[in-house]
Amino acid sequence: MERFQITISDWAAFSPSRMKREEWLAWAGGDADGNQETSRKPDLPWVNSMLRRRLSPMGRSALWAAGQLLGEHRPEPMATVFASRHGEVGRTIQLLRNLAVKAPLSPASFSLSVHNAIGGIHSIANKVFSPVTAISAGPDTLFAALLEAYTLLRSCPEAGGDVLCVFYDDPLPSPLDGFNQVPSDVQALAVRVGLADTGTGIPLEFSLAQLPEGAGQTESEDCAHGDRFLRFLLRDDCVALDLIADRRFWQWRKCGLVSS
Amino acid sequence: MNELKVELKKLVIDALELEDITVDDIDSSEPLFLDGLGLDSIDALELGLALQKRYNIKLAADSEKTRKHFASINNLAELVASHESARGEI
Repeated sequence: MERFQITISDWAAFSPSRMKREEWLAWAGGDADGNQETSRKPDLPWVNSMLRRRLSPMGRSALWAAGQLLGEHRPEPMATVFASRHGEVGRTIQLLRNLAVKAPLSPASFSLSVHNAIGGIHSIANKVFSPVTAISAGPDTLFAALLEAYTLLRSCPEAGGDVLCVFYDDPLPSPLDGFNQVPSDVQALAVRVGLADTGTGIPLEFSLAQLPEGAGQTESEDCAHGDRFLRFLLRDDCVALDLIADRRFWQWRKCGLVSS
Repeated sequence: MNELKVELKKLVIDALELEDITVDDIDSSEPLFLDGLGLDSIDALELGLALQKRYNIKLAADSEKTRKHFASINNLAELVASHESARGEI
């Protein structure tokens, strides 16, 4: 089976109760309680207030995580993949409720309900001219984003840059909240992805296989992939992560030495 | 008229979710779009919807008249006042 190599050279994650690196490292180490404060809001001084007002709390956390990896020098010519399984579904539900009672729709809400809206605000706020992609790919959306990053890196290696992957999701709102969901600690996760031989960071290897029908309905089917992947990244004693989603079998391995 | 202007400023702030902006920050004669307050085309549509909901005023999406009405709080106030008095006469 073909294996693909990438390197994660930086990361940032946000939840209303955790945002600092040491808080996530403690979380990965098993400190489930963490910070008792659960209402922290991400600060986005680099986003013009006229743009910022349009972001949902989830959108803010996605751009906060992305911003932590961009550093002081914006714009950085880095392709970006925004990935979310459900995106701004809360806005879509409100629009559908309005349609159902023949009430007028909010143009602002409509424009922000589309899946690439947060990527759009990111590109305007940071004056980004590099490619921005928006992905939704079912339960394994995060891994689809990393695969997209790999293909972007391989399709134009001469560009030499990294790819920024930003993964974000909120719990499904009513009336969709009856669907079986595993609660997730990570609201937004950003990782900086490079090709294998970049020297610094966490080198990873992954493969993807399609399982035969009827196989692979395991407990990992609907798990919180953001949580599982971040824990895998941060824990030195985690060297393998196997997950199945819709019969797609992902195998992640840490390769070589961890140098950061 | 001044009460109406304050009411319209509140409407703009609420409908467009303007963070950190108060009624006092909006100059009634200042342009609402681009160089003045800095509103954009999505705001124009959202503001049109808010006027329709609150005052039952319907405006054509892209006409010179609409541009004039949307130029400032003063112009919006004139539009709403004339609409209200026209309704009163019926």
